[in-house]
Amino acid sequence: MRNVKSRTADATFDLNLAPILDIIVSIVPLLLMSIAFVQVKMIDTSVPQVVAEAVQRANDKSETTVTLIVSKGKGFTFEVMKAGKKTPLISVPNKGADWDMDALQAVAFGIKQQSPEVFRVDLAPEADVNLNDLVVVMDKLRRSPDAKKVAFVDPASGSKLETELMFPNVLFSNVVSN
Amino acid sequence: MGRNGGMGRYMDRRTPSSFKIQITSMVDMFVILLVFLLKTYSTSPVNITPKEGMRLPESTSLAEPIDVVKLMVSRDGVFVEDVKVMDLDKGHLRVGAADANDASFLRPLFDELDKRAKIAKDISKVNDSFEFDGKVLMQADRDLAYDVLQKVMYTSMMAGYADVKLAVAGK
Repeated sequence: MRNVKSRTADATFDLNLAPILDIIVSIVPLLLMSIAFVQVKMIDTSVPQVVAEAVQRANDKSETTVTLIVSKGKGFTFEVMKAGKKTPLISVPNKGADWDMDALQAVAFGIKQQSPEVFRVDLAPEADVNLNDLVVVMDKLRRSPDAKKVAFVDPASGSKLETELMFPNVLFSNVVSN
Repeated sequence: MGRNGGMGRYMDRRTPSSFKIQITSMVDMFVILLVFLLKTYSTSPVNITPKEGMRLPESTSLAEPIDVVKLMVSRDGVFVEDVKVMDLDKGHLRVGAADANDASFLRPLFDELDKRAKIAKDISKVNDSFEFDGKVLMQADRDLAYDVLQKVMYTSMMAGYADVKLAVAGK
């Protein structure tokens, strides 16, 4: 019995944390030097390679162009050209003093459903629109509302692919004409 | 008063001054700090540091930036790889900054980009693994008007950098 008592007493010990602390103290300055508080990203496509290639092929084959005129005062106007012919303009007027972003996404999705092979939108902003607003518009046009999927045909394989991407490729169409 | 006085007796009687520092809570704190730092550790090979006072627009884009020529447009100037080529006045171009014959053409920016494009093309002639692809990563302040950005993009296109990528802050 005395033996058990002495074993219990011996089983308590202090864990030596000093070496762990040494390691952590060495790592922390290293990590602090390479810390990135702002995660910088880039506006481009972010899709799996197979879909990305099909998107590119479908877009190259397409004879439809979608242009979006962005105005601070008037809102948005979609200009869709199919095989060189203009279709009626689609306007998304402002809601009060602000842009109606939900309506913009809904109209863009409607155009996407009619021309699923088009993945590029030509942006034509007015001079006073600021960059932040343009990026918000690009974000809205990138993916469909509620991640609804739209099917398109890959011209190379003829297979049907589904994607939630609407217009991930953006081109500033009025850079030269301005 | 000697060592045998009151103070001396106290010093002799007191217990030896060895003690243990409790570092458990300190280790706890460091472990939390370590996890936070590891989470924010950037593994991207491209190092982008926005200029002081510049606010990039926020986007849901997930694409990682690529290592190409960096063009910076802040509210006080236009920079090519940290070299200031033009002054801006609170986000607006100064009078006479654009070319007299072409209102969208910014001569100092063109000269700097053209110089870099020529060097890149010369390198690509002797080095097969390097190809001039005309890509440029533009970091621009979120409050800048499209009017200024259009002129910068137009000039960059004229210098051979037609593929402009926009740097944004991840949401």
